[in-house]
Order: sequence, then structure tokens, then C-alpha cells
Amino acid sequence: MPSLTYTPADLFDELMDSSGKIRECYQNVADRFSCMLPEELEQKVKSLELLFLKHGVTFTVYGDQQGTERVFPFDPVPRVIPAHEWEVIEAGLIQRITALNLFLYDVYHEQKILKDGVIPAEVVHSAAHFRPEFVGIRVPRDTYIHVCGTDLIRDRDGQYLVLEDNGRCPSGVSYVLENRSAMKRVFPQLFGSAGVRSVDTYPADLRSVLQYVAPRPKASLVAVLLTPGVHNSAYFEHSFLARQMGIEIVEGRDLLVLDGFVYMRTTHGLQQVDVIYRRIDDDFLDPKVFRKDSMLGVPGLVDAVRRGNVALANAIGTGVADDKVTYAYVPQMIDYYLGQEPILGQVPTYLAWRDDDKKYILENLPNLVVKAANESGGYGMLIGPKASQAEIADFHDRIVANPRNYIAQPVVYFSQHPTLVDGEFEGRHVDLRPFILCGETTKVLPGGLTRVALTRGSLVVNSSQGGGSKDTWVLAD
Amino acid sequence: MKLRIHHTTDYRYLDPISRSSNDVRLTPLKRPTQNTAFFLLRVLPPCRLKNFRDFYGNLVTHFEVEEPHQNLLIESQCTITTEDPYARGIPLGAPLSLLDECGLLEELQPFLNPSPLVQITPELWRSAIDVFSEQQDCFELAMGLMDHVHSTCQYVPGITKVSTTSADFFATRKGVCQDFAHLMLAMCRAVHLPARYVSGYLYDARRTDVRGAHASHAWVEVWIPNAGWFAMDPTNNSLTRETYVTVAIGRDYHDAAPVTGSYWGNSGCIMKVTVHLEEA
Amino acid sequence: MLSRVADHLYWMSRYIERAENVARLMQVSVELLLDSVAFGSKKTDEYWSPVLAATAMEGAFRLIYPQPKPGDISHFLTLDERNPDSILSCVREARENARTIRDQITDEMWSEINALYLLVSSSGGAEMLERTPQSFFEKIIHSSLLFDGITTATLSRSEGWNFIQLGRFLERADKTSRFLDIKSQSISETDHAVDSLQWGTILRACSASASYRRESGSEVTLQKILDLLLFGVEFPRSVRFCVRMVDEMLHAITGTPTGRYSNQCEKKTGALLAKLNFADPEDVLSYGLHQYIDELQIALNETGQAIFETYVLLPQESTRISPASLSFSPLEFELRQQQQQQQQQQQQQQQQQG
Repeated sequence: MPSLTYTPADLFDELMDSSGKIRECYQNVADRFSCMLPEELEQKVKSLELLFLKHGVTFTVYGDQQGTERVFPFDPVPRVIPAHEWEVIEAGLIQRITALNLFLYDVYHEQKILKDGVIPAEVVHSAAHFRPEFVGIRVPRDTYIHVCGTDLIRDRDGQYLVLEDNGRCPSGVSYVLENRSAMKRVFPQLFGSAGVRSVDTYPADLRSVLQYVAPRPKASLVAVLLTPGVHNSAYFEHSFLARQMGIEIVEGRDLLVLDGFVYMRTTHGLQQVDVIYRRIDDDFLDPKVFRKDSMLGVPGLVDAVRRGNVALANAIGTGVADDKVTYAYVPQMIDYYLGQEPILGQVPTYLAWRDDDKKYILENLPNLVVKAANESGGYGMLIGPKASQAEIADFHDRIVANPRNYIAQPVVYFSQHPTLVDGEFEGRHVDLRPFILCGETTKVLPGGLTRVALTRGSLVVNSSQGGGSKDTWVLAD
Repeated sequence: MKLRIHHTTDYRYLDPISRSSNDVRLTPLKRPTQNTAFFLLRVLPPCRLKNFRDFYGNLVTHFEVEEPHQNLLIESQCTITTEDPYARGIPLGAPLSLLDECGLLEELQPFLNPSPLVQITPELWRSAIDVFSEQQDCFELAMGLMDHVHSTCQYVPGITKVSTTSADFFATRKGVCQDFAHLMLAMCRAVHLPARYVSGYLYDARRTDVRGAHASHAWVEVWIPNAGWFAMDPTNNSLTRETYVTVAIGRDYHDAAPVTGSYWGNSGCIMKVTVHLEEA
Repeated sequence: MLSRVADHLYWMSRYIERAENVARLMQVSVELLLDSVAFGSKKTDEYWSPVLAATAMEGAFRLIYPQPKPGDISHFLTLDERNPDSILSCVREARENARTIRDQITDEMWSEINALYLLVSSSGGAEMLERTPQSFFEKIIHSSLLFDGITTATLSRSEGWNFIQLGRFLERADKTSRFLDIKSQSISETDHAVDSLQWGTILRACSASASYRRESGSEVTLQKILDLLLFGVEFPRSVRFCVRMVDEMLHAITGTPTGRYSNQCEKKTGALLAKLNFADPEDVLSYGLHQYIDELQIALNETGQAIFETYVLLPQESTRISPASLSFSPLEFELRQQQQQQQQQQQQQQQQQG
């Protein structure tokens, strides 16, 4: 009989406290899993896999000509977050996203925070995703980031820290919903007794956000989801969300701009589009303005946005807020725009473009995690303690050549969580990506994507690099 | 009781205005009977927010918007747990004679004298004395004054303004919660019962006859010797239970106003206020 | 519905039907060939040329195979990737169209089309064709029929369904008429006697043998064949039946009452259907079968083009679009090219997404 417990490491453990005692919020889950026979567990895992296959919960593997689709590995042991912890996370995220949206408004208007010297102007002007052409353009409801996926980790004391803000096109929410529906079907009793908060309202909530930012009130609003196409790794999510929200999923070539208005081509003629939930990066949105070679975008779209005839969610230029250098200044933003202390901590960050920091980084490369400022998905990253001499030398040169593009952080150890590995439970690193929606009110989905590094000791939880996911249970009071 | 409050004040100026300077008191006071779990103030256009405590202990957020603008949005969100301040009973048993000593306490001085909006006229004083003469107990006196205000005045929105004084209101007897509070303050102070103005929120999901629910509300706190401050709501003629959230206190509306400000420009302004309370 | 989605649904089913018809043609041809070889009196090429003609790919074949060897035609029509109308190409196109709009079709439809593609693109498929060609062709035909049945049984009757039916019936009308054309040239002006063996083959290719026998007995006459394959009211592969279905589907899309038209494609099919409704085999034969079929095919092509122009290329209300903006409203060919470019684009983009 597999036991849910294992030898805790020198880390924060989600399941057990430092004395090895199971935390109260996990008691339910631990009881259920410990009384399960190996055959029963195996059968449950099989039914979970089958459900995911049947629902087509897949992501596309890049570089594969056939467009191979894989099921995102799923771990059956749920991650449990008690109500009092969630209250802090929720408050911290709302505070943070509010500050980021105010920062974006400011950066695209008066730039007071730069003029007051709170954030060096250089930070913004050198950010790859800053769009100076949008300075002075007002966006509907003054909201820039409508959907945010913020990555959280826990330090050794169990404090939640923000690792990264994803304010461009964060993905993963479809897994949150699919994981939940699978868990409900496979563990109905456990689920029923646990008092877990529902995540089902997300598509409806997202839809009302889109409704809220429509440029002008209309009886029948037309919103669409703009996808790069079936070959995109997140296409499953795009089509899932579009279906759940009851809106069309469109590609760039389905849209057309005439006299500053956006239309979609339908079998019954052109239909005006009011809101675009876009899952395409800024660069590819409009070949007339951004990348000329983009075949994914819609020529003239940016002009329509500027004229206020269509709303984009998220707005153009939000990348300046989730830039890894900007990240270092979020506590200052919270103080400046909200007059508050940050509720959620974050990882200390050294900026290579500050000379003192650069010196420190270059001298301590083996102990630091170095990240490229404008890349995500775990690419362009050096994990000092695990890197070879050659890799360290390579990053040394890269930092010297382009200091603006690099930041460094001390190695942060993620918390660990019981995870099923070859029929046994072992501790594996997890992070958490909650999803925040900013519409008339700011809502945090009570749940989130818990990503787990399936390889022992690995800190990389990205789906593109061998991570899996878990259902995340936020408990009601 | 756990309450979620969403309060927005939206100014629209017909022509752009500039150099707007504002003080807002929207952060609920810290008290034994109420505990703020979450509070967030958002101002658009974004600008630097500075906090300070005023003379009465209220948290004031000050900000300035220098550049020309046509909209100003002030939005506060709050999650708060409240307890019934009267959970341990009503503070009866303080004889009126103890009120004489109140005058000697320095911190009560501001709440014993007239203030800009709390004016005590001879007529008003006579009404207060009539109530006073029937009572022996401090708390019962306060209740009596509240009942008097409630039963002799009508709740009619749109007649009074923010600058209406207790004396003005005493003459017409038609107004809103702020006026009810000012009149009760004036009558309390007329008979040397220390009383202060409270700005806050009142939650009531079921009843529609409660005045001021689902809007920014105002009521009164009176000083009961040897017991402390106790709040009552003359608009609704009731004691303040856990459905009341205290945000700021002061001598009158001016000291505790949720939002005050000034700007440069000739433009007219349309203000839209919405307050939404729900049980969390 | 989105024009692009309609277009993909239409082509998905057209290509499936096309693959099925090539398989049908191959099936009966191989059979015929076996019989003839047994007789030992005819050269195999004489059998293959009309088949090639029926697929309208003669020109492409001569280009790819300037000096054809035995077996080239067979390969060209089945697994040759260079032939855009080979079974393999058709199935791949059908699957690719389905994949692009996978969320708009049912899981069952996707599984069937995907399984068919996996078969014909695998070495197992090639082996099967080599060893037991008849079962290979049977498999293709069955899969297509199954796909049709699955579609009927699982897909809601919304606009998407109408476009799927449009593709299927338009393709079928075209192919049935081409089958008839295979032997039309060998018919003498005056004598309408037919080679019953070969015409029997064509009936079999159209799954029409049983229907024919039921209605006309065992004697094979050209009039009766035409009566069934061109004008049959109830026979689901007759040109008239298919055109009627196309007409019905078009009217279902716009909601226009039958007998009237609201756009070019309804006008075209209405006229064509009237022509078929008010003609008989005698008229056709006196006019000249080949010429009649030729005109029929032109009309069918025009219908296909009109559908494309009405629903995909430009919505009818779009008179405001200036010709300049047409440059990125791609013709089908450009569209495919764009898709390919898009796939390349995708590679660059992944670096940037989170």
C-alpha cells in the first residue's frame, strides 16, 4: 500500500510540517490516498489519462512536422490551499495587478513615476515590449492587463513569493478547468467532502470582462478569440475557451479592417467585431505596424485600436510591465500608486545594467539564477548551481555584451509536494499560477495551475520542458 | 460579519481641469470590533498616493493630479470583519452628573463645542433640554435625543447640501443621514454629552426601509462616562450593530468626509458615486 | 459561421468524397483488367487511359511521367504525392482541413478521418495496396461512407452540416458524370449498343448495379443507364439527385425558398436542376453525350466557384471592399501557401510566448 508520506527535504513541504506531521488542510486527502489499494490507484490514474485524451487536452510539440499532440502529464494528488492562505494570495494579487495596470496607464501617459525618479526611465525605454507609439492613446476603461497569470512559489518558510507576472497572453487556465472536471469524476467522494471552491465561473467571468471593455455599449456585442492557429501549442486552450465563452475562434485572415473598423468574414457577410481576446503577441498583431512578415495578424488592426473602435484584451504594450527588469520595481509601484506595502513578497533581483549589481552577478554566477529579461517559458536561463563551467562562461559573456537583457536572482527553492512517481509518492517541486481577471472588479480565480517538475530535483515546471500539473484546491472557510 | 465593500466616486468634468488636489478618508478605522482583511484604493489617472493620520486618527490619503484631465476616478475596495459593539450589553448606569467631569478631559473638548456644521441655536438647545429633563442616565439620554431627532425629522434626499448646518436642518427638518447626524450632535453637545460624527457604511441585504444602506452613511458616537464611545444611528433610530462599518470620525462632516478636493478650472462637474456592500 | 470554417468543412468532405470516387474507379478498373487479362486480348493501357481521363488528371500525369511504365498510372492515382488528386493527397487534404477546424467537428468524425489518413500514409497502407488492392480500395470507400454516416449521426444540423453536404454532393455529381464520360467517346452516333461488360463496371463503380436491375432488369442499355445515373430521382449518386441536394443545402444556408434564388450559386444550381428535371436520355443522346456531360461539368465547376465567391472569398455584403484589399483575400491556392508560411511563422513565435 503506497503511503502518501515520504522523507521531507530541506524545503517547505506542502503536505507535512517540519516534524513530519501532516498539515490539517491535507488530512482529508492523505486519508483518502493512504487507504487506497495500489490497483485502485492505478485504475484511477488510468481513468484520468483517458479523460484527458478523450477531451483532447493536449499541447502541440514544436519542431514536429506532424504537429504531434501530447497529453499534459497530470498528477492525481491535489494541491490544497487553506482559506486563510488563499485570502493573503488573493489580496496580494489584486494589489499587484492593480499597481501594474496603473503603472501601464502612467507609462503610456504622463510617466509620473519616471519623472519622480521612483523608477529609472531607462527601465521602461529599454524594455523590449514598450510601445512608444501607444503613448497618449487611451484604452477602454483604462485597463491594460485584463487577464494575468502570476507565477508564485514558496520559500523555505512557506511564504508565497511572486516569481513572475505574465501580463501578455498567459496560458494554462484550460488545464485548471479540465484538471478539475477530471478530478471531480475520478475522486467524487473525496472531492465532495473537501469543501473545495469552484472554478467553473471562469469562462463566464472572462466573457463579462470582454463585455466590460467593449468600446461602446451595444445590445449584441461581438467578441472573438484571435488565435495564431491550430499549430500553436496552446491551440487546445484557445478553442476550449472560445467554446466555453460561446464566441468565435478566429485567425488573422478571418478578420479585416475597413475604415478603422474590424470585421470578420462570415458566410453571411462581414460582421463587426467589438472586442478581441487575442492570444497572439503584440509583434504579430498587425503587419502594417509591427512585424511586417507576420501572416498571423490583421493589417490595420492597430489603427482600429487607436481609433477606439475595437478593444483588445490584453491591450498592446503590456509587456513592459511583466519585463523581468521592471519586476524588480513592482514594490516601488505598489508604494507609489497605492500608498501600500506589498502583501506578497518577491524574489530579490539583481539588475545587470546597474554596475554594482553587474559586478555582484558576474562574481557570483555559480550561485545565481540568471534570466534573460524578455523571454519566458524557461528559455534563456542559467541555473548557476547546476550549470557547467562552459555555460557559466557563456552567460558571463552574454551579460557583459548586453547587460540590460539580464537579471539575476538567488536560487529559490520551490516548495515540494507529494507526487505519484512510478506507483510511489515522492516529493516534487511545485509552483502555482493563479489567474486574475480585471473587469468591472478584479477577480482571482480560486484555484490555479499547480505545475510540478516531474524530474527529481528539477526546478523547471514548464509544460514545454517536461513539467506536469495538478488540480489546485482552494478550500472554503 | 464579513463584508465586502466597493465604493467608487467618478468625476467627469465638462472641460479639462488641472491641479486637482484631494484628500480621501476611505480606509476603515482600526478598532477592536472591526478588522480590515483587505483594503485597496485606486485612483485614475494614476498618481502618487501619500498617507497620513489626521488629528482624529483617521487615515487620510492625499494625492494631486497636475496634468489636465477630464475624468477622475477614486475607487476603494475593502473586505472587513465586524462584530457587534453592543455584544457585551448596553452601557447603562452612568448618571448624568458624571457628564460634568467630561468637560475636564482634554480629548473630549472638540466634541463638546460647536463646529462649522454643528451649530447650536437657542431653539435647538431648548428641544435638547426638553429631552434632557426627562432622563437620568447618560446612555438613555443619548437614546432619547436620537429618538427625538428621528421622530421629528423626515428623510428626504435632494433638499440639503453638504454645507447644510444643524441649524438650517433644524428649521426645515427635511434632509439625509448627514443632517440627522449633525442635528443629533448639536443636541448632544447642547446638553454637554460629548458626541462625534462618524462616516462609514451600513449593510442591509434584506430591508429596503433602512436609510443609507448601500451608500456612504453617517451617524453619531456619544461618550458614555466610564464606558467609552458608543454609536447610534439617528437616521434609522437604532444602535449600530455589526452591520455598520466605521471609516472615519470627526467633529462633523468636514473632518470625516470620504472625498474632498479642489481643482483649477471653470468646468462644471458631474459626480457619480456608487457604493456596493455584500456579505463575503 | 466564419467563412474560413465553412470553406474547410466544404473541402474536407469534398476531398473525402473525391478519394472515395478515385477508389471506386480503381476498384472496378482493376477488376476489369483482371477479366481482360484472362481474355488476353487487350493491352492494359487501353483500360487505364479512360480512367485517367475520368479523373481529369491526364495532363498532370503526362507531365510527371513523360514515358510511363506499367503500373505508373496506378501509382499516380493512389499513393503519388505529386498528384494532388491521388487517394493519398485527397485523404491528406481532407484530414488537414479537418484538423484546422477540429473543434468544429465531432470527435468521432475526427477519429475516422485521422485513422484513414494514418492508414493510407503508412507503409502498411502501401503494402495492402500492393498485395490486396481490392481490400485497399474497399477500405477507402468504406471509410468515406462511414465518415458520412458518422457525420449524419453526430453533427448538429447547423450551417456547418450544410457546407459538408455541399462539398460531398457537388463532388459526387462531378464524379458520376465523369464516369459516364469514360465510355461516351466510344459510342457511335447512330448505334447506341453498348459493351455491357464495361458499362456494368461503371454501374458498379457507382454502386448502381442493384438499383439498375431493380428498375430496368438485366438488359443493359445506354438509355436506361443514363436514366439512372444522370436523371435518377431516388438514386443517391445520380447527378440530378446530387444537384438537388446541393440546391437544398444552399437554400438552407440562406433561408431562401426553393424555386427562388438570392445569390449566384443558388441561381446556378437552380438553373442546372431545372435543366436536369426537364430532360431525358433521348435528348442527351441526340445532343451528344460527351458534349452534354462536358457542359454539365462546366456548370458544376461554376457552381463550386460561385460557392467559393459567395461564402468564402467575399461575403456578398462586402461591396465596400476595394480591389486593393483583395490582395490578401487569398484564392484557395494562395491560402494554402499562406498556411505553410504560417507554420513557419509559428516556429519563430514560440520563443516569445509564456
